[in-house]
Amino acid sequence: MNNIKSQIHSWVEQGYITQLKANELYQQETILPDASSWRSLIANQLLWFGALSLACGIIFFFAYNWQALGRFAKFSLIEVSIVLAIAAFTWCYYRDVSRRPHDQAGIFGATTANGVLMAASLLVGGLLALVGQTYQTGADPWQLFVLWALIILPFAWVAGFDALWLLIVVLINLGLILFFDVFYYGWDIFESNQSLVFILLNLFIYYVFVFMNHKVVGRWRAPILEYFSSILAMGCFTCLSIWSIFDGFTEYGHFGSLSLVVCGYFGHLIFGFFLFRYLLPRVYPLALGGFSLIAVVGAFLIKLMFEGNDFIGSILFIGLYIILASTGLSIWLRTLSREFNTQSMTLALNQGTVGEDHGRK
Amino acid sequence: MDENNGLAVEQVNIKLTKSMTSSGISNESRLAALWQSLYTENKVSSAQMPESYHIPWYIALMQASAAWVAALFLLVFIIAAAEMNFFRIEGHFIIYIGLGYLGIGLGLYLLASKQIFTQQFAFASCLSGVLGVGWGLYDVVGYGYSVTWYLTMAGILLLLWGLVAHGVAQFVFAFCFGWCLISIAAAKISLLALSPSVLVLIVSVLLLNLNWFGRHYQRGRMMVYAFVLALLNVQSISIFNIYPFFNTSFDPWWPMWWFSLVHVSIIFLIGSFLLVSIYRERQQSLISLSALACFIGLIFISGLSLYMQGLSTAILLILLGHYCNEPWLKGIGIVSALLFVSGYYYSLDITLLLKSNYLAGLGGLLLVARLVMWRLFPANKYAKGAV
Repeated sequence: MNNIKSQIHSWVEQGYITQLKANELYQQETILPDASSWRSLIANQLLWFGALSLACGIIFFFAYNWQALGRFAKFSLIEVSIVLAIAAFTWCYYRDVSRRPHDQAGIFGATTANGVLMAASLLVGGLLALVGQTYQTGADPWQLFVLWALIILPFAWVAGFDALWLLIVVLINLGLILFFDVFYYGWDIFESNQSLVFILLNLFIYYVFVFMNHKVVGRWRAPILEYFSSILAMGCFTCLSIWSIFDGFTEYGHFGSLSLVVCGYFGHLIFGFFLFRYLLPRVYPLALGGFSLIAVVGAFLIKLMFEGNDFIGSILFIGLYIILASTGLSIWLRTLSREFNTQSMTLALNQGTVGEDHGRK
Repeated sequence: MDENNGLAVEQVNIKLTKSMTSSGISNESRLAALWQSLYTENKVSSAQMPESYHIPWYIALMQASAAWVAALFLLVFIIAAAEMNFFRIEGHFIIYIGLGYLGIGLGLYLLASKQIFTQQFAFASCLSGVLGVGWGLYDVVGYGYSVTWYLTMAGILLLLWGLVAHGVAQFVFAFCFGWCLISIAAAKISLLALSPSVLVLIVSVLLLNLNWFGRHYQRGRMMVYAFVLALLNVQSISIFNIYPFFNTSFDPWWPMWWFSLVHVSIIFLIGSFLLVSIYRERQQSLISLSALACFIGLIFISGLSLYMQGLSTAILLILLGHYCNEPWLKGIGIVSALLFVSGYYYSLDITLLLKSNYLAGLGGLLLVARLVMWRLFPANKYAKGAV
């Protein structure tokens, strides 16, 4: 909707239409939400905030470690809550399927059943923390988060729900940070082995979702998870590559592990370029890779130029390089975006024609 | 024959529109239809719709980040060059450098053609200018952030926001302007706690009147989002108790309960106004069961916000975002509501057991409200699609 209004704004800015006409068009394009839209908004808010508040309330209760309540009662309370939540999920899930078998789920898969399952997943964490608290194994060791992620994996599999997948990925990353904290005396983004584990893990998750979503349309659609894992992986990869340029790449003069990081980085960029440019056309990963490349090349130029004599000229050169490179990349991405849109429009048109022919037959 | 051709073309057009709508590319077709209607009304001279300048949000974000880094390099370049070749740089000189960059940036924005390169260079130049003037002024006024500093910077940023026709730049300048206002309120008048209320008012007024902004539509929209971000920052400072970080520049009066009361009352009034508007637009009675239930809900949320700070703001953002068809605003509202409620965990006023009881009670109440709502207001299958 606002895309249309933004376009109307660009027409008035370019002088195609008058301000009065623009205001008239803004009004015309404003479709106020109807009663059913308000109703579903309020119903969703009540359900989600209700379910999450209830789950958090139960977790807070166990975090308080109330001594007056015995072990048996505590375990019973949380286990019964989990069983009830799963039963409610099953009921809601089959009710939704029987009522609207072909209906698409709401935005990011936020249905009633998924809301209840999210609460159940949080309660599983509460149960594991209670086990740690009761048997003195700790309420926040790395095993707890990894185990939590593994236990709720089937939930996410059944629901195919973006937020639940995201919870799992966050838990795995958290477990990994705690693991490094225990065995390597702290998590360090510039420590190549630790960073590489994060990069590989998050890239693996990202590509699994990209490929599976391509094969099974809709079932593996998890845009928030894709943004999260790709930004985390490419952010770590960019930092590590910049670090290797400044620290180890030229210092030792041989092909060390840090040089391999840089080679791996460029190899991944080339792979990503061919994949998202030709096989699975997408603008976002190309933009992420492109801007990451600008940062890494910028770091390389800084390293090269600041070793020379012309310090001041180098600063200007790098400033201009960043502007030029980001501009060039933006122009290319915009052209690509238009090209991909035209492709998908043609595809949709063909599919529509084929669908109609099938209908006629 | 011609008639048949016409029918065939029409059928193809219908097919095209249907397939576009089903594939989620309805915006382009709607825009094309809108342009065609303008052309038939003789409101525009060309039948060909002008090219779209829309860029996805992530490209805009990455462009803005690149411009910030480039701006730092540009500023350091001129200062290092002057210092190395001529003399030791004083505050006044840095201000002149900043003004020079601002002049270049504004000149490019106002005079040059709207190419991506020009805009990116102009944006980086303006940022260098703002940084330069800020740095120089900090030196000149005695290494401190005084009201003069904040007012000057607020004036420059407001001017830039008003003159520049570049969405990303408008957002950045409006956000910095918002923070200058907050800082003035906090550092000198000790009214940091009142700034969320003022920001909420500005955001609501702007958002509800955006359709009358004509050529300034984008400018207004960017200010709305910039102020929303500033508003959430201020509320997070309070909720997560991170204002000791800002002790050098802020002297907040958070413990004063009446600030919270003022804020909640303002939100209650805006929420009520929204509710009355919706019911009037739909020509429904304000003493109907649903209207009364909504008012009770509003009072309940307002009361709850006194303990869970920020909750009412988040709920208001969700409602405003839904009412004005701004999905980003709605998303920000939902995320901030979750954030603010989770911030309640760190509140040290009451015990964890009490918090747990409150949360579980609240959760149960909300779920019951949903069930009751289902019974009281069943879905109307024949409801009209739009008002």
